Amino acid sequence: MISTAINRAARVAFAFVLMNYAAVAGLLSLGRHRELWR
Amino acid sequence: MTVVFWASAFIVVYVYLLYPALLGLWARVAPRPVSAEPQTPHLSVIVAARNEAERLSARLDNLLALDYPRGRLQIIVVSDGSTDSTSDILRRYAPAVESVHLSGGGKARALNEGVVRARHSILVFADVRQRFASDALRALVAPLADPTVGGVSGELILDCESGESTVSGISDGVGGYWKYEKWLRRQESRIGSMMGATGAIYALRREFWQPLPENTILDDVLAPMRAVMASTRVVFEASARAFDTTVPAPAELRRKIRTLAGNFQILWLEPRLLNPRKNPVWLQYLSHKVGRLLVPYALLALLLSSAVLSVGSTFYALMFAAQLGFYALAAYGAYLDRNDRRRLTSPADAPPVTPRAVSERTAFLKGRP
Repeated sequence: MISTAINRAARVAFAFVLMNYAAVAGLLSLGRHRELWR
Repeated sequence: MTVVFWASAFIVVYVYLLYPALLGLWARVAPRPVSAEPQTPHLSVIVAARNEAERLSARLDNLLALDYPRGRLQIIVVSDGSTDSTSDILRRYAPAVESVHLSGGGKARALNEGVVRARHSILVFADVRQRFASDALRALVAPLADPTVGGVSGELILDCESGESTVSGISDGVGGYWKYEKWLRRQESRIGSMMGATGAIYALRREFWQPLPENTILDDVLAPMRAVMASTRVVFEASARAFDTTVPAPAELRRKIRTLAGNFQILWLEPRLLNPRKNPVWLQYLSHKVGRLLVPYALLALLLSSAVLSVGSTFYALMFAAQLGFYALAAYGAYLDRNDRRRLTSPADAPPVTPRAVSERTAFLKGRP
């Protein structure tokens, strides 16, 4: 029971970190191709 | 350093806790109901596709089988530079499905071309990947009986929300996040407008459509937000359902990178969004969309400032330890995800995300061949 809750919390925490990483990576990927959409 | 800590903490707490609480309260105190009524207006359904031979037939069968008067439905598929048998499949479905073949140019250009071919005043946008519930179109257009509504977004239901996903791992986190995100959208809709739409299923009155810049990444945010800035409402209709499957973490990460890159790009393409005199949902836009873009930097500042302040302060030491604990938990989540993916041999299990892979993906979305 406790380990299921911890695993679930861990996956939510991982998803949260991924989402924030994606925000930074998104900005960087746009920066590399700015001339394409300017 | 104390100011940095508290300012960063405020950004994170405001975006993920205070704003949702404020929104919930606002929606309860001052809702703006929609006068939805059953109706079956003429619709033009537009689908952009590139190399979708594997999924296209199922998608077209789904659209053709919807519970909606066939004579009131124009289905347009724009094939954007497809090199597989997408075009052959489209020929088989003619004339029930009208097709446009472009040499390439990206999704935004494909959608622009689809709208040019549309004969009706209500446009419905959909992707090849998802499926509609049979009554989805009827539900989607019902709120358009209200003249103050210019656009309607349906609800995308992921299999992981109902525990049906075959991709365990990240799906728990994604499902939880997606439920939270949909709750926010629902509340924003109740007080006025959503901050965009669900790309898998949304309708827009043609009068509010403006051709998209060819390199637009998030058509489903830019087009609805332009409508909102033209003083109409874009609302959420939960009974207009589209269904999708969860993808493994690397593919989900690429999708999130695309979405967040698109959110940055939109500020560049449509700076009026940041002007409270031009954007009627300025506060919501700033809190929901712009806030999300700031949070990663706030998290970093929070970690660093609490590390510095922890020297000689029990409170900041505890704050620092709590963050380390959270990131350790996330690392454990990454470990679980990796184990889950090793167990599964899904074809969608893409190679690790590299800067090159991200660049290639965004290049397609921006129209680069």
